[in-house]
Amino acid sequence: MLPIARVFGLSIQAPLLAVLIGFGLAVELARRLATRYNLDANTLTNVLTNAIFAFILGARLGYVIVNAPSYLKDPLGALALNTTAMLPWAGWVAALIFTVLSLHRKRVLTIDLARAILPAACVLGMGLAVSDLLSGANFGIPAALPWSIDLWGARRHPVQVYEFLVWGVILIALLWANWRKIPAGALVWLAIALAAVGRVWVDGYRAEVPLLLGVRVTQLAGVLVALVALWLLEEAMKPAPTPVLNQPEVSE
Amino acid sequence: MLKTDVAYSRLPIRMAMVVVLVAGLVWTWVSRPVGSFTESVSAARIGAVAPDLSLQGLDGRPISLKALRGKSVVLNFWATWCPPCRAEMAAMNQVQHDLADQGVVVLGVNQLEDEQTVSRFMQAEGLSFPIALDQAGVAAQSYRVGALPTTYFIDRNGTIQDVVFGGPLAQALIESKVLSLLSR
Repeated sequence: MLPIARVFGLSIQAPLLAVLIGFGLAVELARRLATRYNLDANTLTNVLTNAIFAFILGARLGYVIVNAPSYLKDPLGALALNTTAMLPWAGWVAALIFTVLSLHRKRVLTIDLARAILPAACVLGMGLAVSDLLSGANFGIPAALPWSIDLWGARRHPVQVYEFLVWGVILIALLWANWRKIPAGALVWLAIALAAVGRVWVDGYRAEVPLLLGVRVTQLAGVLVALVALWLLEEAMKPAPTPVLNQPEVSE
Repeated sequence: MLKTDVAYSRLPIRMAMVVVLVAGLVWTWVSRPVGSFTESVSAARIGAVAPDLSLQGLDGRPISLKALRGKSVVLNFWATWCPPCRAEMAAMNQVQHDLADQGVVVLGVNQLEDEQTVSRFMQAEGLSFPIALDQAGVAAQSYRVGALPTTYFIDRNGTIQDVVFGGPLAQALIESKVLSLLSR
């Protein structure tokens, strides 16, 4: 665990740095894939880069609104430079709305963008997994294995590493599917199915996950999501029906 | 008339669905938590019981975190030489003043400094919330403090509910997190 890293004498929040690096690499991958598949790479890159500001603004606004009574007494506190006064889900919603609206406004919002965005999302997922490893969040159950890590007073499954590997496998699968030119719509369902399967596997080693009837909720949900996504993948892979022209009758 | 081209095979995806269903449910059952899974060991992480502290207070009296069980505690690791620590001390003091009657204790844990230095600083800044002296760095080690300031928010049951690395923390932020502790 390394919540704070010292770089040239400065104390830097290492988990945050990992997320930022992951995001930067994700945007670069999106740009390269967009160029390869003749999509508007410049617009996509600009929108994704600006989306991070939308995330920060949305997350901060969300936190301030939820805790309005405290901020009414100290309004300038809303502008304080810290990474804790954030509501992550509000940030994600703001970033998603911003991205969709921006791409729609610039008339580049098509399903083909999935070829660039989905692999980039996998890289971001890898960055988030590294961030979790550095902060010690989403840790694993105790296990005495050669590859266990020391965390929170016990030897544990390195589920953050497992998560990193899962996102890496999904990335490779999507790049392969792109290369094979499967329909962009099918790519979406393939990504969702693989992510759900990955969730089912990794969460089997994770500690402190909500339970339902004694089993992990996220695993049950993962199985269900994977089945639905695979069904939709099958539908998306069906070739379009080809019209057959009626032969005109020829009278002799 | 429309003729559907069915040259593609559904078999691989159908097989994958069966494998996901069977293997997914089997793995979910096999990997389910058994016995007492909630780890009750104390550790400096969110959701765990806060490691106990036994330190000398600035007033010479012993301070123990266990003795504060039943109160919501803001545990702030700081030092006088740390600029963001100094910047947030007034906010910590104000939160202690505003919420003391609701069972909130703001406890500053000074790192590796002598009693005189800390006392002079507290008097110069007009601060009055309780301070513990961690002159040997034992508390910082058990809380894995890697940088200053680091602030833990501990509920009435002694469970860490939030941790903030760095600062300075605005008064509104400290108060919002304390109010969250009080609502539990």
